[in-house]
Amino acid sequence: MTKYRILTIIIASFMVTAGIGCNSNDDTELAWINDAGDSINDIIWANGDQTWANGTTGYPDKTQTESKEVHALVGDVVASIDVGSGFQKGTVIIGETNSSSLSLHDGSSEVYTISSVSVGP
Amino acid sequence: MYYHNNHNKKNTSMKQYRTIVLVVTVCFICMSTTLSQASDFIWQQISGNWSVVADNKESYLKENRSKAFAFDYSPLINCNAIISTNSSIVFTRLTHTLMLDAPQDTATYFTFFNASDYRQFYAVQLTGNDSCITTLSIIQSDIKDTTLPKQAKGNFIITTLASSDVQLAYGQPYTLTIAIKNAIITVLVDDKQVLSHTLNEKLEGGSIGFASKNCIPIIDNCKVYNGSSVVFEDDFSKESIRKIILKGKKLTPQEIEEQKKKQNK
Repeated sequence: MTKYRILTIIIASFMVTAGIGCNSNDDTELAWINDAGDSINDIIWANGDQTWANGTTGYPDKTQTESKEVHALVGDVVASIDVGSGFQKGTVIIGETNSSSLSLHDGSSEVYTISSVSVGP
Repeated sequence: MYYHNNHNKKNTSMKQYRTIVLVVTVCFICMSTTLSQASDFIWQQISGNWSVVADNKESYLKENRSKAFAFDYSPLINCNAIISTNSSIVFTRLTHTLMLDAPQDTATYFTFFNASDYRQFYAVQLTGNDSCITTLSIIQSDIKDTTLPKQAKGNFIITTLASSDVQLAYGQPYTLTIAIKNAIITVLVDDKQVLSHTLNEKLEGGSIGFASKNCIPIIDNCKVYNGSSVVFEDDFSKESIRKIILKGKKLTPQEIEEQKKKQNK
């Protein structure tokens, strides 16, 4: 019975320790720099996990968005751009991975730059 | 000696002529290739993830994202939409096959036409629940307040002009036909009339396109007639969609610091 109790206490201690270890207070933050040459109006991270919008003016070229806390660590990024005839949605392709999927480090504060807008197949 | 010099001169000018002809030919080939590639893109993606899918047996147009995010600049960007690059399509009959799949929540699909911009168009809309497509409607989208800038969100109004209860299955292909005679719009599913409505105006033409939300549409054999002549068609046998692509890059900690310094200045 005593052995059982000790074992239970050990397991419980492990669980508490593991729980404390996982409960990091560091928020994961993300910000964007528009270096695309055109104004970008909205940026959406991971299907709406976080959004950046700046009224009707959007984010002009060479401006940085505010850094915002995100919860999803993996996702894709879409942005809206005025193409003259109306607003269109574009997917951001990350240069390092050549993929639309982006991975963030838990607890990090990361900044990405949107460097170009093009029309292609 | 004179002959030799003259012969050399002739050879040189002949070589120059050949080089010029070669350069002009190469330029012409490059230009015609570029032009033919440009004219291949007859659709412009507004939102979503549309692709032309082709295998050995068949090819079709498919939207792969299903979920749409409401940017709210227009009804088209709120769905997953593509629009024809030809903005002056006048037609009497528009037809294509359509299959809707993987419905989530309220599945919505529409074929739009007479679009003068992303907020002004007519459309034939299908809506459904989890089990089947339940309603077919003719809708009109218009600008709510024309004095506001186009960046204003939610500045559009959608009116249902006519509507009919239907029972169409998901995962089954149907032929959707929109016929226009004077100001009368008639909608047919598999050549059977489902709905008809008389508009207050005669349509003068515009872009056509497809939009969907909470479902995966598969579209094929789009043919648009004005009288007996085909004015627009796509059998989706080759890539025909232009898309906006943004390139992104992660900043290094050093670059972030430099950026902060720039902002503080």
